[in-house]
Amino acid sequence: MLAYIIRRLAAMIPTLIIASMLIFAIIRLPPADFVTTLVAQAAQSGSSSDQASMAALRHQYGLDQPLYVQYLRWIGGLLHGDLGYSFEWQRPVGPLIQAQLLYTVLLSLASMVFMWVIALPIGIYSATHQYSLLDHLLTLIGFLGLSVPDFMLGLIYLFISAFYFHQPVGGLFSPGMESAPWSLAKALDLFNHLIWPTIILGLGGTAQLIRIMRANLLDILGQQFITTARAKGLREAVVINKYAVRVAINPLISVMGMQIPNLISGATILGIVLSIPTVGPLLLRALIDVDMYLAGSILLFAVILLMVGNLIADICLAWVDPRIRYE
Amino acid sequence: MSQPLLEIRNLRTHFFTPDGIVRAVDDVSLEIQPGETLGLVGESGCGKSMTAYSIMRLLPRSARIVGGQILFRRRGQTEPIDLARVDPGGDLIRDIRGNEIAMVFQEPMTSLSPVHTIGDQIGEAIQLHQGVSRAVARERTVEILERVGFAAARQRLDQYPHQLSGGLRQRAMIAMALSCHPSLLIADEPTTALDVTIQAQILELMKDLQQQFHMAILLITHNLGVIAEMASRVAVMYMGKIVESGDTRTIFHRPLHPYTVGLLRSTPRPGVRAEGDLTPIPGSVPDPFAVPSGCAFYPRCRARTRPSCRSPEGIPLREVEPGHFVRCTLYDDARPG
Amino acid sequence: MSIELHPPELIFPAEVELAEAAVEADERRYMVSQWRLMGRRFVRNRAALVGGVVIGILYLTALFANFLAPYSVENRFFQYLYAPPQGIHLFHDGRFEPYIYPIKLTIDPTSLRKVYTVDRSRVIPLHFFVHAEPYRLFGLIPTDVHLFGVDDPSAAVLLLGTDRQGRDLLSRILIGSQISLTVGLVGVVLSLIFGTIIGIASGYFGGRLDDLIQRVIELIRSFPTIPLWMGLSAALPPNWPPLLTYFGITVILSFIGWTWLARQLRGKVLALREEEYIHAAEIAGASPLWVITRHLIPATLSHIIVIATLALPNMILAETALSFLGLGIRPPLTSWGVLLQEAQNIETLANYPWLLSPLAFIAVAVLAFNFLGDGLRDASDPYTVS
Repeated sequence: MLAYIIRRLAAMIPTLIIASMLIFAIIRLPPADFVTTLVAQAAQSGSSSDQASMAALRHQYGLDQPLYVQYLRWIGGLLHGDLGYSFEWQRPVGPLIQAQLLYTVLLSLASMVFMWVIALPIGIYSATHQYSLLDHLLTLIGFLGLSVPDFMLGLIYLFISAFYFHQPVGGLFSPGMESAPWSLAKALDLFNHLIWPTIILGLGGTAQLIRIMRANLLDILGQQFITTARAKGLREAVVINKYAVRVAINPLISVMGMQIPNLISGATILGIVLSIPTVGPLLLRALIDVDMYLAGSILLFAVILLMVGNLIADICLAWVDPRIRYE
Repeated sequence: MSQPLLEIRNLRTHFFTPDGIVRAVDDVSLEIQPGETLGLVGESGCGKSMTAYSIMRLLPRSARIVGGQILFRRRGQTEPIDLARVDPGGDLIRDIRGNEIAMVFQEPMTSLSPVHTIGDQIGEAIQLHQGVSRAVARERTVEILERVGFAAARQRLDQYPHQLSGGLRQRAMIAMALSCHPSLLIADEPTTALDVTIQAQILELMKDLQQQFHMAILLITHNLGVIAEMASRVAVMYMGKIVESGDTRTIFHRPLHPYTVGLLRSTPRPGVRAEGDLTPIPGSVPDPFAVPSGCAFYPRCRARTRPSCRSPEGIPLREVEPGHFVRCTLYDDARPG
Repeated sequence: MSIELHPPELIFPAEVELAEAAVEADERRYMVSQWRLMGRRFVRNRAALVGGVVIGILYLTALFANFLAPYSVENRFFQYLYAPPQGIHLFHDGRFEPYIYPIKLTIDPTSLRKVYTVDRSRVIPLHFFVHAEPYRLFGLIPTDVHLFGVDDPSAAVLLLGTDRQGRDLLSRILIGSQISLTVGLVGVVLSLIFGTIIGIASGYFGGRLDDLIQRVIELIRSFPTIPLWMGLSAALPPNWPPLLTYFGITVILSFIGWTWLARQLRGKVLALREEEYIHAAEIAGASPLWVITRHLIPATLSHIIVIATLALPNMILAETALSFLGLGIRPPLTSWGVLLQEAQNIETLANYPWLLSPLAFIAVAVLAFNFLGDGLRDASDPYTVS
C-alpha cells in the first residue's frame, strides 16, 4: 500500500512540472501584459502614460525579460515558497490567496460529504424499490439536478433569497465577524453561511451519484454472487448491504474522483455568482488583467488540489477493493 | 419404495416480459429419493435452471410460479411442505436455503463475492444456520475446507476468490454449500466452466461427499458424460417440458424420444464404435415466444409420423415401461407390461 | 402386453429439409439487426422520445429564429427600459383577434419609483406575418417577414419584457439560441473527430503511442475545467471579430471534451482488439486502417453516438458559463449565457426577475438532451434485460 502511494506521488511530479509550464503559457497567451492593462485603466480615467514610464514599470515588474526567464523566476520562487507578487493588489500572492484557498477547499470538502451522505441511501433505496413512485420522483429530481449546473442554481438561489427573503446574500460571514478572532461563534456563523453554497454546489454531483449508484446496484443485483448469497439463506437486507452495496461502492469511488474537478470548478464559479471569497473572483480578475503571478499560482493550486483529490480517491479505491490492492 | 425427499408435481413457472409470456417450466414433474442423484439434461434455455430456481424460490422478478407443487420433506418432519406456496422472502424458505437445500453454480468466479474472503463467506452460512459464534464457525469452516480437499485450509481462510485457482474456487463453493450438511444439493452445471482434468476431480469429490453425507443431488447439465458418471436416474427436458425420464442405463442404451436419440447421437462416446458421422439435431431451439402447438420438438424431429404430433392439447407423458416415461406420439399404443 | 420399443426410424431427407426451412423462417423472424433492436428499445422509452422531439423543436426554432422573433437582437426601445413581460389577449369582442395593451412609463406617486402601467384605453391589434426589420433567412434569403408583431410604431409586443437597454428579451433569447445550440454541436463534432481518432488509435496500436497519449490525457484532465476554460478564453484577443471568437470558444470547449471520448473508446477498443474476428481480419492481411474503419468504428459507433449526445448539454452549459462570466461570446453576437450576465446581482433580480427567463430555455434544452442521450444509451445495449 505504501509503495503504491509513493509511486503515485512520484508520478505526480513530472505532471506538475509540465502543468506549470502549460499554465504559464496559457496565462501569457494574451498579447497584452499587465502594464498594458494598467495603461488601459489609466486611459479610462483620463490620464495618459508615456513610453518611458511604461518601460520603467515593465523593468520594475520584470516584464521586459524574455518569457522563459519570467517562467523560471516564478518556478524558482515557488520552490522557496514564494508565490510571487500581485501587480494588481500590490501585495505578495501568498497571504493574498491564503484565505481564499482555504475556503475553496472547505466548500469543496463540505459538498463532497454532503453528496455522499445524501446520495448513498437514496441510491440504494431507488435501486431496491425500482419503479416505485418514489423511485420515479427521485429519478426526475436527479435529471433536473443534472441539467441545472451550479452557477444556474446559484442564480436561482440569489433570486429566491432576493424575492422571498429580501436579504442580501453572499459572503461567508455576517458583517463584523470576518475580522473577529476565531471562536465557536465565528465557526457557527461560517457554518450557517456555508450551508446553502454547499447544497448548491453538491446538488449536481448528488444527482449524478444517485443515478450511478442506482444503475450500479441494479447491475450488481443481477449478478450471480447475489443469487449465491440469497441461496445461503441470508436476509435480504444483509444481501443488499453486505454484498451488493460493498461491490457497488467501488466504481462510486472512481466517480467521486471524477467529481473533484467539478467541485473545484463549481466552487470557483459559485464564488463569482454568490460573492463568496473562493478563488473564483480573484482568478477572474487576475486572468483578465494578466496579473500573472496571481493567476498562475491560483491555477497551479487548483491543479494540485485536483491531483491530491485524485490520489486520495485512488487510495480509497485500493483500500476498498482487494483486487486492486494485491496487484 | 421410501418416501421421496423432493417431489415436484406439475410445476409451471412463467416469465412475464413486455414481449410476451415465456413458459420456462411447463408442467414438470420429478421426484428425488434421499441419497440418490437425479440428472436433469437439456440444451441451454430448456428450463432446467429455472426448475432449480423455482425449488429455491430464487426466481428473477419477472418470473412467477403459476401452478404445481414442490413437496419437500424436511429433516425430522413427517409431512412434506409445499415450497411453491411458501413466502419467497419469508423466514421459512431462508431457513431451508443453505441449510437443508443448497446450491452450487456454474462459474465460481462470478458466484463468489469478490470482496469477501472465502472464510467469511463460508463461515457466514455456518453462523447463520447453526447459531454458533464466529470462532466456532471458523473452526468448522476449516474442517469443511479440508474435507473438500484444501491443503493448508487454515491459511486459505483469509484469501479472496481471485487468489484461488478455478478448481479450488469450485471446491470452495462446494464447501460453502455443504457446510450445513444439506439433504439436497442442487448442482447447476458444476463442472462446465472447468478444465477436463479438474472436472473429473470435482465429480469424484461430489460422489464421495454424497456418500459421506447421505445427500441427494439434483444434477443439472447439458453434458451427457457427466450424467453417465454421476446420475442414477435422468430426466430430459426440452422447451420447459420433460420429454423422457428413467434410469440412466435404460435411457442411454435405449433412448425412446427422438430428442434423446438426437442428443446421444450427437455426442461421441468412447468405447462405442462410430457408425457413420456424428449427426447433429437439425435446426435450433424455437423462439420462446412462439412455441409451436403440440409437440415442441416437432419441427426438428426426424421421425414425424403422425398428425397427432401437432395436437393443440399437447402430448402427455406416458410410462411405457416401469420407471421409464416418454412424451411422444410414437408410443401412444404402448402400455407398461 | 408390452410393445416392441425401438428407437424411431429415420425419414426421408426431403422432409428434414422442410423441417430446416421451417426453423430458418422462425430464425429470421427471431433475429433482428442491431439497429432495429436499438430502435425498438428506444421507442419504448417515452422520456427519450419526448426529449428527442423537444430537441427537434428547439433546433427548428433556432433555424427560424429571426422569423419567429418579433424584433432584431439590437433593437432598442428607449421608452421601455426594464419593461416587465406583457400578455397577449386573444379574444376581442368574442372574436379571435389577438391584441395587446401598450404600456407607459409613469412615476408611482407614493414610492417615487418608475413603474409601468398598462394603458387599457388603447387596443393595439397583433398581426401575423408582419413586415418588420429585414434579415436573412438561413443567412441567405433576404426577407423582412416576421411571424407576429404590431404595426403601430408607438407600441411593442414584449412577451418576456426588456432588459437594461430596452431590448426585447424574447427576441434575444430566440436569436441567442442559434449560438447556444450550435456552439455545442460544433464543439461536439470537433471532440468527436479528435477523440475518435486518438482513442481508437491509442487502443488499437497500444505500446508507446498509447502511453504517450494517456499521459497527455491525464495532463489535460488534471486541470479543473472552469479555471482552464477561463484561462484559455481570457487569451482570446479582444480585437478578434465575434465570429472568430465563436470558433475559438468551440475549440476551447472541445479541448477537454475529446479526452473523455478518447478514454472511453480506448477502453472499448482494448476489449475488442482481443476478439477473434479482429484477429481473423488481421491474419487475412487487413491493414490497420481497414480494421479500424471496417470493424472497430462500426462496433463502437453506438457508443460514440451516445457519448456525443450526452456531451452536448455539457457543451451548452459550458458556453453559457463562460459567456456569463464575460469570457465567452462577444457582442453583437448573443447567447443565453450573455443574456444571463444581466441577471448577476441581487438588486437586478429582485426588481426585474424576468431577466432570468433564459434559464428556463437552458434547463429545457439540457434536460431534453439528457433524456435523449440516456434513452440512446439504454437502447444501444439491447442485450440487457431491464
